[in-house]
Amino acid sequence: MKVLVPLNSAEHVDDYIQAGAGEFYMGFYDPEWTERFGEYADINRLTGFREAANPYDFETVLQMVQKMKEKERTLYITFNASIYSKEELKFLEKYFMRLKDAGSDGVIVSCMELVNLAKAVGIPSVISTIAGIYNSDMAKFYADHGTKRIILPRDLMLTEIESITKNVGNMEYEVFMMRNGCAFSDSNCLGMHRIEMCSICSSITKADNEILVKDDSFGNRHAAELNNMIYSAHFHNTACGLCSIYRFIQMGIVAGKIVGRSDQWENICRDIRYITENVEIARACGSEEEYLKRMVFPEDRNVVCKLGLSCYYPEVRFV
Amino acid sequence: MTQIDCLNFCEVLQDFYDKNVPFITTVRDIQKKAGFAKCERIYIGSSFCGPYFLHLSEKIMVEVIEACQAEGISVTLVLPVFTEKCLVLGKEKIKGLSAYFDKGIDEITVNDYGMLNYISGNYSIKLNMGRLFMKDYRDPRYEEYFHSELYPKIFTPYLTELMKKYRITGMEFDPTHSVINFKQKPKDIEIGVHSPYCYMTTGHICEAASIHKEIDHKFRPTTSCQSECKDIIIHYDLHDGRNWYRVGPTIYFENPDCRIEGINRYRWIYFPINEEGVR
Repeated sequence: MKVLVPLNSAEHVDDYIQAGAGEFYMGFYDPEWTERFGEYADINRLTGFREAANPYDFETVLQMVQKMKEKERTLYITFNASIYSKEELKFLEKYFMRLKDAGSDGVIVSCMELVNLAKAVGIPSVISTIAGIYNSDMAKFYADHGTKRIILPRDLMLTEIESITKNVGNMEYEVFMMRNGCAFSDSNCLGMHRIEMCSICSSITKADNEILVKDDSFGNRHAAELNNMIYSAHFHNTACGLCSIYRFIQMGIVAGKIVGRSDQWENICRDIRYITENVEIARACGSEEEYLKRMVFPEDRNVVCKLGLSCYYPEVRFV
Repeated sequence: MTQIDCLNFCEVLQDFYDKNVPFITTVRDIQKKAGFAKCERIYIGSSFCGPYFLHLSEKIMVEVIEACQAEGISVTLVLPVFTEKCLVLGKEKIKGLSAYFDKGIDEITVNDYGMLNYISGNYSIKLNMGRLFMKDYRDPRYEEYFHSELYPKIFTPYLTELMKKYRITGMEFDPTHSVINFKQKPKDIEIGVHSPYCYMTTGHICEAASIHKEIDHKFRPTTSCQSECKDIIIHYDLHDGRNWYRVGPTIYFENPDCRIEGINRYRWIYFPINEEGVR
């Protein structure tokens, strides 16, 4: 299992590689796109965070494609807005063709239109979690259209991931591994992700709320309000999947993803090292039980490793 | 402009049934509150939640279908996105209801490509693309965007081909903006617009389903539940003069005044959560 890393800091590529990065992904900004389609049209899901999440323009991305080839690392370019118009799809074709000419390893895409476009241009496509591949039938649908890899949603259970990988073979699968959780579904969260205001989940969590209970007894209200307190204050403040690495290796998962395109490079390096070290440990272990004893924990485990509330896959430890 | 008045009992059918009022009486009460002269169609099932769909009693669904049939009300069966854990059970439930296809249930709304392919390949019934296919951003926190006129982006050449291949006859949208213009819609496609709430985000982790779980088992995706969502709704105040609700795994904002342009006939699909009894 390789470590897939957001390439948000070109000057630290060698640090990432030294820490164990096997693959990279990045988005880009393009003033021409914004001028043409407006402030609220995304090239990728984090376009609204502007240079904080997409620090480079397209010409720099093309240079990075070359640079990564020299360093023998894979680089995927992200085109995962929730939806694109006919005119936007036409515009994206220009990017795809230039990426193809530059020898790009592939594009991360969010919709069938872009799978078909990538195929027509001759560039491999990776299905973003924005497409929401939640079951084998959906995986098969995309597999039949020639996609190379599927990034599985972070709100799937390990048994579900295992079942999909078994039912739809001849496909690369990637999973979420470190940094940010999500209380909703990437594929159907349709609020803006922009720099001006936080995402809607954050607005909702911070908003005043009134819990309306049909049978408003003390017990029912207490249970609902306590549940809401835990959800709002502690659920997925951060996220980690290190405990599941042994199982993912057994399943043949090809990549574990670190999210956080706008995060500090030092923190990303730290997470790369955690995954790399644990993959090595897992490969040397004869059982999951052994791995769970020997694995390396995050340095903030005193907070993160509590009650499964920061786990992508809590069922490993909290059966 | 012709408006076909419909009621959406997805996510709430069990709640109304539990009131022990004849279903048609419920329909008449709600259509009055919604300002409809007559309800021409109801939607049952779920757009958002696999476990909710699986928990829906077949007995209740059959009673509702038969009551609607007797009153000349059409029924659309709505299927959510099933995660892998629920997919086989979901298909079994669909099979159980298939006895009513074209005998009460005259169309199915699907919300993902896998189910579109499955239903199309196994049953001969009219198909709608559900609201989860429609992924234009909706966010009233950004007023300029919210008040702009939306031309839905989904009307691409690929969609047109998909419509032909799968013989899709309808599409469902949410009231995402002040104005939605459907002039680019493919010919022969009937548009349905949900009202008065727009879904903004959803997922497979349900806060309500965790109420009775031990803390280290809370907030797991597609967890088993006792349909706690029918007993609790959360209202949020974002200080924008708008009602925001969490119903099951889904967050909605209120947008009753969405104007429809570019078409002369559409379905108006009213969601009766204000009549459901928790609020």
